[in-house]
Amino acid sequence: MTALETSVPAITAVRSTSRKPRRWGASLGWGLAIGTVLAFLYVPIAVLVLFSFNTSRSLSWPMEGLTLDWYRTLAGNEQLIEAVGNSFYVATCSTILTLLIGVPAALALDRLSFPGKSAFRKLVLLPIALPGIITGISMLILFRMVGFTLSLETVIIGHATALLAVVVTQVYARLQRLPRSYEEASADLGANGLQTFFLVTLPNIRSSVIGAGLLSFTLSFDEIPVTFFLTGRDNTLPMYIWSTMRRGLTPEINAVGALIVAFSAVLIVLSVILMRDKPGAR
Amino acid sequence: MTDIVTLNNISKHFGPVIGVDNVSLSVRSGEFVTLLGPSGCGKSTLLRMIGGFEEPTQGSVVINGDDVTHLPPNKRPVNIVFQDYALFPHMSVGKNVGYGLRVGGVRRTEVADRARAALELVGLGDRFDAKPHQLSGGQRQRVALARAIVRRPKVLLLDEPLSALDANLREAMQVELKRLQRKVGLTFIMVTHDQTEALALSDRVVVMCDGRVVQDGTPDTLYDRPSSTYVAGFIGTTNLFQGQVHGDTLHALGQKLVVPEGLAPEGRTLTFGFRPEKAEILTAAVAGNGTLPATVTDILYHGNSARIVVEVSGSPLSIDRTISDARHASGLPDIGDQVQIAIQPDRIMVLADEAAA
Amino acid sequence: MTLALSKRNRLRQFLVLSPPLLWTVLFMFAPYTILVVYSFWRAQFPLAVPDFQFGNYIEIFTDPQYARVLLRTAKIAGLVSLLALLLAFPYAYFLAFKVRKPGLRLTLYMAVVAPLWVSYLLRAYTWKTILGTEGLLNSFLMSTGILSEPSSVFLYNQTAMVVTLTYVFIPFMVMPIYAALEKIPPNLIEASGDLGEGAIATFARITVPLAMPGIVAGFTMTFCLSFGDFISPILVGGPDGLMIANVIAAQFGAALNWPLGSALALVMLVIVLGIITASDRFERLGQARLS
Repeated sequence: MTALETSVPAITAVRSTSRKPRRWGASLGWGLAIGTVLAFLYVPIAVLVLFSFNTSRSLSWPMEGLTLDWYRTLAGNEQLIEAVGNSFYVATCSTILTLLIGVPAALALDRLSFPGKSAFRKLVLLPIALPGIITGISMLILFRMVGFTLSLETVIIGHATALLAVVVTQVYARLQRLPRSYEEASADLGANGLQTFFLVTLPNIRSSVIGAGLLSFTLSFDEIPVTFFLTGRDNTLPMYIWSTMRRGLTPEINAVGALIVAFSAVLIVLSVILMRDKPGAR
Repeated sequence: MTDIVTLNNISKHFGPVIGVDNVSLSVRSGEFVTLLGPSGCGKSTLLRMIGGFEEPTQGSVVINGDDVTHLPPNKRPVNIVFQDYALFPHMSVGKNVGYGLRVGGVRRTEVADRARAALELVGLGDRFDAKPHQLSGGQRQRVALARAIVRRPKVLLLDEPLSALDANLREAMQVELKRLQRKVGLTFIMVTHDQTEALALSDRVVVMCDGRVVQDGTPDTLYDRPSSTYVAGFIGTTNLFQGQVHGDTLHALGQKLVVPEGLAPEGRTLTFGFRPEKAEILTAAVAGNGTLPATVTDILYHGNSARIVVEVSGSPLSIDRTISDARHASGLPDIGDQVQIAIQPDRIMVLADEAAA
Repeated sequence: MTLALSKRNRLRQFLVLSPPLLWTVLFMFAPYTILVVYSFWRAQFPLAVPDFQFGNYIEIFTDPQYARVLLRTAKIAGLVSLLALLLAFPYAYFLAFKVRKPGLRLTLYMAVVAPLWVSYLLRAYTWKTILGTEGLLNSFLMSTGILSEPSSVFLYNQTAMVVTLTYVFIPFMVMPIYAALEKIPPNLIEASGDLGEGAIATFARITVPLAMPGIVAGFTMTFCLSFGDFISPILVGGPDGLMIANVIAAQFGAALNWPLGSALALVMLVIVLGIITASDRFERLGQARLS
């Protein structure tokens, strides 16, 4: 609301001939618009973290006092710790798997021509826009039909499939910017296909592979719609939180949330550092 | 002098587009051959087929006596310098140069030694540990050269090797290239669209147009005896005009010119031409047999020479005059002057031209 | 091209291609196909029996409750996309044209993208704590005296869902719009100013049309993601807030009617694919016009 009101003088100032007030008014308007978006994005996260330190069980303002009790409770929660372990297992395996499939898929889409390429591209990229629930239930039916027991492994297959599009788009975008002459030069200098891939191609798309891997890991760690349908008795962390949440709100969830936020922040910083292209790398 | 590379009736089609159309070519060992033509004429495709990056639709490629038509680049005894050099950005200069040896299974110590030696050959022995992005354009070019010759290929391919350099550097690198070729005694096949580069460096120039070879000869043959208006127009500047030969007289430009007898078939309308430096400008007073009356319309001053544009019977002709110390720029005619043009009779070229034939 | 490929090329292709091809056939093509097949089956204890009948589809198209859910889902997804666009466009515009320092630009861009890395579930959950009866908003309004007792109007309704989903999916709106705006050469906008166009005319005639592919891409992304969501309706939606994905999930859970659920999922798939195709067409049309 405030952003709207103050942008009115900014617009009238445009018509005036003096430049200074116009700049001042415009930057105030912009400041408020940007501030609103940032507040919208970060106040809820701040709230999430803040209430994990609340002494009271209820999540109401003002907070009664600060405590680390909820974190202590977490440390003793065996179900939760098991869920975290499961999530790490699932996220690690599905990330490795999706990279092993996604990188060759991106290579094939960029470097090769083969019959059915456009259908292949459509199929691979489909999950990026497709609601996770469709991937979830279609794989559920498949596993049911072939008689797989649902387990963390079926979740891994589901995640790897759903995340394939993420890896393929990121790596493909990098490959497109990579001059083909590098690979040609390598072949010209006597390297075979594998040597070229590991000595020339991979080092040059490294940042995108790492970036895609980190993103896949986070998304898998966080995934619900596919996990919801494909998991057996084991819970991943989001599934555990989900079931706790439906029983009621407690600052314990906030404490888990705060830890996840911290973990995500580390991953973001890591990915920004790793994905920054080295100087000279085109 | 044996043939090191032989192309037999090579064609390359890209879908419906014909990139190279039935080209045959032999390159002798130690020769410096240049494929010259405008972009899209198929010269790069031809080079890439020798390198193994494209497979011919028809025909065969023989290198050093072996049919390599269907062999991948890594199985061919040739190396290439790419237009963008394609130096691996994540490797040091030394690693780049040693790459071909390393993947070939040469021992680590030997790789370093030979890479260093190759870098020294191109004058970059001290940049072994530098990264490609720290080098200048000319230095990168030399690293690419060192990398390509370190494996001692039978043939070195160069794809527009100098086009990424600015004009001054390009000339210096031309000298360097020529020197390097003499030193290592390798066969060079170069692709370029720059005719001065082609004339300066090559033992033989192959001019291409629309996927076909239009003329194949030494630089001076191409310059003095271009076979067509296309070649004449592509290499240097040429004054072209139509005319008919009767005995030792060429009827052209509304005038009569003296030519050697039997220059062209009697009475046929053909395209003739001469190079701008093969004619002289005389004062109007010395009109003689076979000179052409002309009016000066433009003068372009180039320092050591000047190009004088004149009009003869409505057709513009370019004539170059060198300016030596003795004859200063002040010796040039003025715009609007009436002059006489004398063309050296034996420098008049007859051009096979489908349109005029 | 493919005809001229030699043996070695084909072998290399095969090696690169076979793992992803095998995977996509096994875990993408096969499940989607089975989903289609299943939608024609009949539900029968313990799960379903093979059949070929249109009963599931007939039920979907004749029982008005499904149409209602679909319309509601579309309405909410549309509102989410609209709200996200209103917030995202000025932000992306500011980033592309008003920020001069590359460092600041990267920081502000990352500020929008970063929340994607934070658990989706927790981001939705935090709105439950903010909007709830005992939540932050109520406590705040009571402590300032605007409300005398906690109100339950904030949570468990469609507005809460729109706000939550906008919050969750807004990065998908900012990213493509920024990418589109970034490609517009600033001198194009300056040139328009030189030609005597006012700021608003320039914006309407140059900036918005050039940003259109990004806007469409962002709208498509946000709409499709919201359309298929089944978490936030349960967390912050009320009794009138169930979306199509919840109905599908129910068929695979308590209602135990997998064939009907499959048919519903296919209806959803067709709608989503239709929107994606339309947006693709639009983008290609725009490219053709530009070139």
